[in-house]
Amino acid sequence: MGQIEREAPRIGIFVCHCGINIGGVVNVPEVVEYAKKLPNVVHAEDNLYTCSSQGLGKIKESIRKYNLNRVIVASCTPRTHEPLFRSACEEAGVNKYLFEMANIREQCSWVHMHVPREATEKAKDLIRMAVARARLLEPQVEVEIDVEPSALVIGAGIAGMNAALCLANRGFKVYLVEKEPDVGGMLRRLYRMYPTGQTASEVLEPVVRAVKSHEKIELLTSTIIKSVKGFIGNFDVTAERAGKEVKFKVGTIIVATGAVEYEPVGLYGYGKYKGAITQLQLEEMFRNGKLGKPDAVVMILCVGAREPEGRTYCGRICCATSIKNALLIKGASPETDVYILYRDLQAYGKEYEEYHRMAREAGITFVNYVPDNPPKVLEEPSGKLKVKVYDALLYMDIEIPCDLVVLSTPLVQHEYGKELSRMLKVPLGSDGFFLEAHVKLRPVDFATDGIYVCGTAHSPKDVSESVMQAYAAASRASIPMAMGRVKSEAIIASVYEDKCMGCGLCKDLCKFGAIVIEGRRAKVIAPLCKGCGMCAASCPSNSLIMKHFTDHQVIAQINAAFGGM
Amino acid sequence: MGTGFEPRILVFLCNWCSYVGADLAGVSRIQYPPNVIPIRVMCSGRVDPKFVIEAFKRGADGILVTGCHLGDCHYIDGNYMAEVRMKFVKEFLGEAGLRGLCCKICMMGPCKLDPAVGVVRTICGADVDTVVARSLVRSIAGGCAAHADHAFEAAHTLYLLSKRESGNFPYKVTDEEKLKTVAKKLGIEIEGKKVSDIAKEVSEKALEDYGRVHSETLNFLRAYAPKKRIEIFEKLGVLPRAIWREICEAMHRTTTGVDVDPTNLLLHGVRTALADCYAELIATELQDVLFGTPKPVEAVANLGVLDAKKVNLIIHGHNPLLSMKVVEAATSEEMLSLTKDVGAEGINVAGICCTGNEVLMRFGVPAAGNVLHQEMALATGAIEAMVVDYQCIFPAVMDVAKCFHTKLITTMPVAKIPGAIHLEWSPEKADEVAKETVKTAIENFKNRDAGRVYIPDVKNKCIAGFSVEAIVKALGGTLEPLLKAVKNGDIYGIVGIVGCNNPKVTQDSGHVTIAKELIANNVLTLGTGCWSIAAAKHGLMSLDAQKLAGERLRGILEALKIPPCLHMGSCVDNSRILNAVFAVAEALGVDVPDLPIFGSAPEAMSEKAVAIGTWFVAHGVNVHLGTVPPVLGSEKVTRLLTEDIVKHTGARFVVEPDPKKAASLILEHIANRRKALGLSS
Repeated sequence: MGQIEREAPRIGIFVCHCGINIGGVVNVPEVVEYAKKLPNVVHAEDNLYTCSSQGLGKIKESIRKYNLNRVIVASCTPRTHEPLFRSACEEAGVNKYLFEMANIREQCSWVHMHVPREATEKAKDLIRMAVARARLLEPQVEVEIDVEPSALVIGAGIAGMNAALCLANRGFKVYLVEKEPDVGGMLRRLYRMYPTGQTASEVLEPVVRAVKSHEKIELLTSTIIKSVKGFIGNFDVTAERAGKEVKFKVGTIIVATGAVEYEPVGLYGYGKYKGAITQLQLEEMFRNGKLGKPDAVVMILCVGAREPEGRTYCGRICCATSIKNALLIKGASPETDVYILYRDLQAYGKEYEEYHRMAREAGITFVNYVPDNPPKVLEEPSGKLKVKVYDALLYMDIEIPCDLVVLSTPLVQHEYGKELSRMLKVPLGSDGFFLEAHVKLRPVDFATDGIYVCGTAHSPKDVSESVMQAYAAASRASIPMAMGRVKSEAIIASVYEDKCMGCGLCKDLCKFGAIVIEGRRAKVIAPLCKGCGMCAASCPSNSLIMKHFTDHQVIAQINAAFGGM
Repeated sequence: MGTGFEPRILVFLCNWCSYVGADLAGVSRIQYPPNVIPIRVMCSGRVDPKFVIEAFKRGADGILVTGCHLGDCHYIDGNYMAEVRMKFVKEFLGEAGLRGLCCKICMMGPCKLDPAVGVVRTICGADVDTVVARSLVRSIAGGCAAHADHAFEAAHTLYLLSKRESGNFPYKVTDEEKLKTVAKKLGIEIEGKKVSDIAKEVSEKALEDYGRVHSETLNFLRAYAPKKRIEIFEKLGVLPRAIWREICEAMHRTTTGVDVDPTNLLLHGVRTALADCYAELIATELQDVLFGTPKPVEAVANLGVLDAKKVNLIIHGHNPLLSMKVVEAATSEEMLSLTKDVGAEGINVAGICCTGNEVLMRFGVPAAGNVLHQEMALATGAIEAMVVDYQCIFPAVMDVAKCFHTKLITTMPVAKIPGAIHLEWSPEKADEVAKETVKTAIENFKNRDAGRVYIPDVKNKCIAGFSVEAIVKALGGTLEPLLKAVKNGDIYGIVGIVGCNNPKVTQDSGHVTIAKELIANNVLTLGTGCWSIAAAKHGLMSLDAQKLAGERLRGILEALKIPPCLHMGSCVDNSRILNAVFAVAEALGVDVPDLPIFGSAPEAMSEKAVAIGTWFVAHGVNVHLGTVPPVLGSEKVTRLLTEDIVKHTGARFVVEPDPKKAASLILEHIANRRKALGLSS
C-alpha cells in the first residue's frame, strides 16, 4: 500500500466560472460554500477561468498550502482540459490519477440555461459525486515497455511489399511472410492496369526486385504463420516453412493478406456455360493471348455484390476494371461488340469519369439493368450465348447474342484471413474484411496496439489505394519502433487473486486476449488490456478490479447521486 | 406519491460516443431537464448489473445506459455486450417483481408482465391489475397466517392451563385483573367464577374465532372495535368470519382461475387483514394474561449489552411462550452455579427482534438489537447460543454461527434450520426445553475464542413497557390529561411508528429520522417491533431524549417523567396502538379518521407489515410506508390503495422513501385534522 492510500483524503475543489458560461447560470459562490462542507474537502475556491495560467497556478499553490492529495476541478468537460489540469497536479507532486473533474458546463450550465436554481443544485450534485469518487481514487503508474525494432508483414502482395520496403528503408528489420511460393499476390494474375494502361508486371517488377535485394527484409515465401503471442513491442511469432518451424520476435505487425475474387457459382451460367467467366479469367485470357476476335462480349456488373445480406458492399474496383477490359477488347478487336450491363456506374474520382467517357466514345454499349429484373444468360443450340435483359432506360427487353459473358464479382476475405483474425485477436467486420479501430480517426490501426492493416485485406481497393494504405500502415507501425518504448495504459483491469475462482468468463469476454487463466486464477496481461471494463462488469465473484473505475468508485458516485455520502 | 412526480434518472455514458454526445448537447445549447444525472464510464460494457440495482435501491426512478452505435464500439463490441446484458438485467428486474408483475402462482408460468414492451397479460389472460392484486392478497394472507398461528399458541396454552387445576403445568395466569377485563369485554359473566373457569371461557372465545362455522364475525372484533367501524366493515362486506377461513379463502381466491376482479380481491385482502388484526389482539391480550401486562421498566439496548465476561444467550423470534421461560431458567440458582464451573461471571440473556421486546417490557431484559442485528450479534464472537422460535429468523444466522463457536437452537416444530440443534418446545415441556437451552449455552462457554471477541461499545438506556394500561396509569388513572394536552396543542398529534428493518434503507435511519422530526414538532410517538428497538438503541426512549422534543411536548414529558418515544411492545402489540386509538376516539367522541394521528412503517419488509398496514387503513388510520411495496405495476391497485380507499375507510396509504419528507407530510395531515376539529394549531 502506497503512502497516498494510507493518508486520509484531503480534497481541494476549484469551481470555475468559465467567464459567464458557468457563472452566468450556476450560482458559483453558493456551490463553493456547499463544496466546503463535503467530507474530506479541506479547500474550495472559485476561479474566473481555472484553465488560465493563473488558475493552474492556484491549483499548484493550494496543493502545497493545504497539503492536498486529491484535486477536483468543476468546470468544462474532461475531454478538453483534463490533460492540462492533470499535468498541473503532477507538477505539484500529485499523481494525475488523483485528479477528478465535475462537468458543470457542457452537462449542466449549458443545458439548463433557463433554470438557474435547478442548475445550481445539479452542480452541487455533480460535485458531491466527484467528491465521493475522488475519496476513493488511487494513484496509477503507467508502465513503459521496450519495443523490439522489427516488424512482421503478413502477405507479399503489392501492399505488403510496399509496407515492408517503407519500414526497411527506415532501417527496421522486416520479416515478410508469403504463403505462396512467389510474391506479387493478385497483381501477378492481372494484365494491364487502369487508368494508365501499364502492364501489371511493369508495376510489380521494380518492387519485387527492391524487396528481394533489401538487406533489412527477410522474405519467407511458402510460409504460413502458426501462432502469434505477446503484445505491442514484444510479439513472438512462430511460422512454418517447408514443414519446419521458424521463430522470431517482432515489435509490430502489419496485416496485408489481400483478398480473393468471389466465384459466382450458379449465377449467370457461371460453372454451367464455358463462355461465362469472371473478369480475372478474362485478364488471364489477355495474358495468354487466348481472347481471339469474338463477335460480341457482354459484361455484367455487381454480380454477387451490393446484396441485401452478406456481401452488402460495393466491389469498388469492378466498374473501372470492366471499362478497362472493354477498352482492351475494343483495342484488340474493333469489330467486337462490347456491352456493359450495370446497376449503377460508379466512375468516381479524378480520372475514371473521363475513362468512362472514352469507353462510350469507343462504341461500347452501356445497358442499365435493375436488380429486381436482372439479366438472364442462355445457351443457344449453336453453342453461342444469349443475354436477355430489360433495359431500364429504354423500358424494353433486349436480347444480345454473344460469345463471352464476363462477370464482375467483388473481392472477398479468404479462409486464411479468418484464421489470422483469430490468431491475432483482431476483428473482422460483418463484410468479412479486417476491421480498423476507427473508420475515420484510426483507419489503419487495429484496436489492439501494435497491429496494423493495409491493402485489400481491409476492403476492396485498387493498386494505388493499396499502396497508399501500405505507406500509412508502415508509418503508423514505425512510431513505436522509432520511439523504442511505449507507455502502457494505466486504466486497466487487475485480478484480486484470493477471490478469483478461475471460471474464465472474463477470458472469454475479453476481445483483446488480455486475460489468461493460470493456476486456476485469471491473470491480466497488462499491455494487452485496453481498459473497457467488460471483465469487471461480468465477474461473478467480483474479483476483477477495473482500475480508476472500480466498483467502489462507481457505486460511491451512484450513492452520492441520490444524496448519500 | 403525490402529483408532480419528477423522476430522477441516472445516465451511464461511455467515454467515446455517449459522453461526447452529451457534451455536444451542451455545445449546441440543447436544453433538457436537470433531473438527469450523468456518470462517465470508459465503455457501456463496464456497466455492471449491480450498478443498476444499486441505483434503483438508492432511489433512481430510471436508468439509461448509453454506448457507441452498434458496430462502432471503441472496444470492438463492448456496446453490443452491454445491450445483451441490459436485456438480462431488465428481465431480472422484472423477475424480481419489484413492480409486482411476476405471477408465479401456477406452473404455466412464471409470467412476467411488462406493459412497456407490450406484455400485458399472463398465459391465462390475467392482466396487470389482477396479478398485482393477487400477489398483494397473498402477502396479506401470509402475514395474517404468521400472527394467527402465533396467537393460536397463546390461546391454546391458556386453554390447556385452564383445564389443569393444579400440578406442574409450566404456565399460569399472572395477571388476573387483565383476564377479568378481557372476559368482561367479551361479555363473559365473571361473578363468583374461579380464575381457571374464566380463563377457559376466554380461551374458548379466542379459539372459536379461528374456526367458527357460522357467518358471524369474530368475538374479539365485536368486543373491541368501535361501533362506527363495525358498521363500515359490514357495509363493505369485509367483516372477517373466522381467522383460518379468511386465510384459506385468500389462498383459494388467488389460485389459478378464481377471483380476477382486482377490487373484489382487495376487499378480501382487507377482510384477511382484519382477521390478522384481531389475531394480534388475541395474542397481546392473552400474553398479558399469561405473563403480566407490561409496566414501565428501565433497560439498555444495542450490541454493547453483550458481556464478554458472561455467558451470552440471545433469544430471537416472536413468541414469548419460550423466551419468558428461558429468562426464568437463566436467572435460576441452579444455572448460575453452573456458570461458575465454566469460569463465567454469570448469564447474560439478550433479545433480538420481538421476542426480545416481550422480555424487555416485562423483565427489562437488554435488547441486543432489531431484525438486522441478528447476524451482527453473532459476529461479536461472544454468543454461546442463539435460541429462536419463529418469524424473521434469517437462515443466514446458521452460516454466521458456524464461523464461531455459537450454537443455534431451534425450538418450534414449524421452524427448523438445517445444522441447528432442535429442542422442541411444547406447553408441557417448556421448562425442560428452557433449561436445556440455557445449559447448552453455558457448556459452550469454554469453546469461545476470546481472541475473536469484539463487542462494540455502544448502548443506550431506555424505558420500555408502555402498555395502554401503563400509559393510563402514568396519566393518573384517566386519559383526561392526555386529551387536554392534545386539545391545547401541547401534544400536537400522536404517531404510531412500527415495522421492520429493510436493507433497502440504511438500518434505523428511517425510524430514527422520522421519530426525531416528529417529536421536535411536539408529536408524541409510540410504537412497536423493530422501530421500538431502533428508538431504544438511539436513546430516544430515555428521559434524556426529552430535550429533543419540541418545547410544548417537553413540558408534558417532564411532568409525566416519560420519554418522547414510547415503547408499546412487540409487533403483535400493534393491537395496543389500535386500542389506544379507540380509547382516544371514544373519549373525544369522534371517528378514528378525524383524529390528529398517523401510522408509519419507515422500513417495512415483512408480509406481516403488509397485513398490519392494511388493517390500520381499514380502521381509519393513514399509513406511511418508507419502502415501496410491489404494487406499482398496476396503476389501478396503486390508486385504490393510495387514493380511492379513503372514500370507504377514511384513510389511505402514503408512500414516501425520504423520512424527512414523510415527516412533513404527516405533520401537514395532523395540522389539517386539528383545524377540522377546531383545535389550536
